[in-house]
Order: sequence, then structure tokens, then C-alpha cells
Amino acid sequence: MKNLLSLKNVNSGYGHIQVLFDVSINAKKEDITVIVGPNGAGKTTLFRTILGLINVYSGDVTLNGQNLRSLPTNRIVKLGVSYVPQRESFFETLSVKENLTLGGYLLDKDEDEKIMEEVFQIFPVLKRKDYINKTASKLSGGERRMLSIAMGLMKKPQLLLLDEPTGGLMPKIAIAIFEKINEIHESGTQVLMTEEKAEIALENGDTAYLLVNGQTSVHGDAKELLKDSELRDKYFGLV
Amino acid sequence: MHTIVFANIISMMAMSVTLTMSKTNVNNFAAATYGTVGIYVSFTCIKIFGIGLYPSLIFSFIVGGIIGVATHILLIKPLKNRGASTREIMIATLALDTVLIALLNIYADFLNQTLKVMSRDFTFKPYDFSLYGYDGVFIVSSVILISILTTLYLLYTRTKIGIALRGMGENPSLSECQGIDTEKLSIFTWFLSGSLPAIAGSLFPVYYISNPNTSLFLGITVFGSSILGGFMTIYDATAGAYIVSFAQIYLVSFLSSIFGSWVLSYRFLVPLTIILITLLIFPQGLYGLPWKQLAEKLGLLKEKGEGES
Repeated sequence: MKNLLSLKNVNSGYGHIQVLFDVSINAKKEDITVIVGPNGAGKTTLFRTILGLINVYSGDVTLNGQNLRSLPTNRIVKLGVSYVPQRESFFETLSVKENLTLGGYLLDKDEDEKIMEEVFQIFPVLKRKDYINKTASKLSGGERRMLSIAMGLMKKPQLLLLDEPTGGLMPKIAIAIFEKINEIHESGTQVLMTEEKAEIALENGDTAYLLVNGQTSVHGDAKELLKDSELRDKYFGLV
Repeated sequence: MHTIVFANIISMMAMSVTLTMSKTNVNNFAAATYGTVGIYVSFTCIKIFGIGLYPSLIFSFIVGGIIGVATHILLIKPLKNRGASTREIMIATLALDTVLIALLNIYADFLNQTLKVMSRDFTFKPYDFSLYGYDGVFIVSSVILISILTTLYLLYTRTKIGIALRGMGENPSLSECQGIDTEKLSIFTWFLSGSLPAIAGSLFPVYYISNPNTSLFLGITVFGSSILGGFMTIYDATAGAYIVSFAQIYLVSFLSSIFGSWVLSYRFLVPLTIILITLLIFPQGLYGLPWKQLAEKLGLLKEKGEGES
């Protein structure tokens, strides 16, 4: 299988504060790749590195073989990378429809309406009359995550980067979100996500990387990692 | 009529301050001086090239816009790239204001000494027209203000670029992640923030004597309006400008009728007092007031009144 996204020996951080150290990751086409790790391991920084939102000191970030380093964020998005941040993932003062419109900012009007209908197939609640014109800040936690992911899908991306898609959500809603992620993946979108809830993430992923203190210490088949008793005990908080 | 023209002019300048603050997070102290640039663009058009006052507005719009964009590209962007704080950028715009005023003084001297044109303390009154008893500046400034408010309302609510501008004001980084070229939108914002006060400035000398230092007297009124508006929307900025302008003119003339004309020298205390009251009592200005609750409260009071009767 070909790599869609590759990070090779990447060192990055905020100003002079280095967060990622020699990180190498390959996200294969047709895989759900999961990055697990404790709080503060550098998971969000990894995504911000891919998106060019922070300084990359050295190493290469490539999408389909094209180097993303030195490209502005909006160009990287144009190449097919869609990022759904953990926090501040939608525009609070805008309505649901306006948020989706910005999600599909790069599309022309006809395509915009078509993709929005496709997104509504996955998240029908957002289409409801009482939701579509609602100010986004008035949505519940689960609805906010749905809106954020829907905004990510509006770009019709090759690669969807999901940062802690179930962060702060009740287990029942988290499971529903993962069902949606699988649905998105089956429709042909490559998914790379970070997740603190290791068990549910590894159950749903194909390939996994363990990120600790800004370094990728272990990687392999997601289900195999989940079986590793040392990792379960030490990093996943599972017995 | 004078008060409405003054309020229209201050509105356009306050819109500029509000636009740069709400969309690019820059508190631009040079906004009122863009107005003086507009004054001198129109002055040059009228006195040197023989172009009428109102056709000269097109040139003011363009030159003001270019200066706005230049401010972004040559001053704000390099400072932001170096990690300058909001406060440092604000001080840089103060410095820019001083430099622009100095350049305008040099230009006025050049006109005076080289071209023998009286370039200080002039008015454009002779270049205005009258229609059905209304001064041209009253009609034109009102039409321009209403057109700007309508156009920007439609832009912000009906177009993708307008929604993107609102999104950029709330979260520029998230906007970039949607594929929005925030640099292009910033340039657009800065163009408007330069062109709006420049047009307003061109209209100012019709009623008021002007010189290169005019912005020093307008600046406090402009900032008072923006602070009262709440720095968030152009509609609140306009409302703030109308309140401050009317208060400044009517309150001062009322007080001068009681205490004498010496009060006129202290007219800038009105916007200063409004700034103080706003910052102390409702720092988010008109934008931050709980209008819905206030309306509900008023509704409740009405119901109570009916019950009592």
C-alpha cells in the first residue's frame, strides 16, 4: 500500500520550544491511522506541524510525495488535507450553515450544495430546520463535534486529520462519533486521528503510533498494540 | 445638517478602526490621519488638477486604500511575523500616525512654497452644491454611509468572502485551516480601512477648516465612537459615532449657551468622558449590551403597566 502522508525525522515546536523529536509516521492509503499517547505527548503539535501552523526545524512532511514544508496552511488544505482541531474547531459566532459554508470555502457553489447534501447524509441532525440557522455556540458537545467533522468533510479531503474527535464526550456519543468516522473512511477518505481514549481508538484503527514525550516510541497494527499488556498498563490506562 | 454630516464622517472613520480591530486584531491609531490624507488628495485634485470635489472622492478612495494596504504590508505584517504583541503593534500605529502627519505637513509646505497654493486652513465650501435646499455634502455623505452599510451587510451575510471575513475576525488560524487565504482578506480589510476614512476626510473641509493636523482633533472623537460601539461591528461603530457626534456638538453648544463660549475649547472632553464611562461601566460597548434581555425587560415593564392600569 502506498503512503498518502509521510513524516520523516520531523523536529518541530513553538518558537524555540521544541515539542516533536525525530518523529516519523507513514499514513497509508485505505488505513485509519491512529496516534495515541498521554496528555502533552505532542499529538496536537503533530497535526499543527502537518498543517504548517508551527515551525518545522528539520525533516520532511510529504503528501503523495509532495513536500508540504514551507507551504502556507491554506495551500496545504487546497492539496486535500482537512484538519478538525480538538478545540476551537468551529466558528462560534456563525450559524451551522455558515460554518459548513466556510468548511467548503474552496468549492464552487454547485459543488458546495452537492457536498453539503452528502455531509447531511452522514449527519442528518445538522440539516434540521431548527439547527441549520442556529448559532454554533448554542450546540451541545456532541453536536459541536459533528459540526466540526462535517466542516472537515465539506472540503472533500483526501486526508482527514481528526484531533481527539471524542475528547470530552460521553462514551455513548463517542461510540456514535467513531461509527461516523468508520462511515467516512469507508466512503474513501483517509483518516489520521489522535485520541486519548486508547481502547476505542485502537479498536477502530488499522495502524497505530504511540507518541510519548514528542517521540514515536512504538508503532504497528492497532489491534496488536491493544493486546500488548505492557502498553495497556503503562500508557493506555487499561488493565 | 452640520451635525449629521459630522456624524457621517466620524462613522466612516470609526468603521475603519472597528474593521481593523475586529478582523485583524490591530488597534490602528492612524485611522483618523488617513482622513487627512483624503483631505489632501481632494485638495490636490481641486487646486492642482482642476477636478471637482465629488469626482475627487474616487482618488481619495484609491489613495486611502493603497495607504491602508501599505500599512499592513510594510508595518503590521513584518511586526506580526516577528511576534510583536498587540500592544507593540498599537504603538507602531501611533508612530505611523506621527509620521503621516509630518509627511502631510511637508506636502502642505511643498504646495505652499513651490506651487504657491494656500495649503493650510482652507475649506471646500465653494466646491459644494445645493439640491432642494440641502447641501451636497449632506446628501453625498448620507448616501455614501448608507451604501457602505448596505454593501457590507450584504457582503458579510450573503457571500462566502464576507462570511470568511467574519470567520477570520473570530479565529484566523481556523480560517486558514478551511483553506481561506487570510492574507488576501487582510489586504482587502486594510484597503477598506484606508479608503473609508479617506473618503470621509475629503468631505470634512466642506464645513470645517482643515489643515495637515486636522486628525489630531478628530482622533479622540473617532476612537470614542469605536470604543462606544464595542470594536466588533460597523453598525455599532456607526451608532457609537452618531451618539458621540451629537453629544459633542449639542452638549457643548448647550453648555456654552449657559457658561459662555470658552466651553467650546473643552469640546473634546465629551468623547473623552464617553470613553471613560464606556470602559468603566460597559467595556464591550454597545455591541456587548444585552439587547435581548433589555427588550424583554421593556416588554415586561409594558405588561406590568397594563396590569396596573
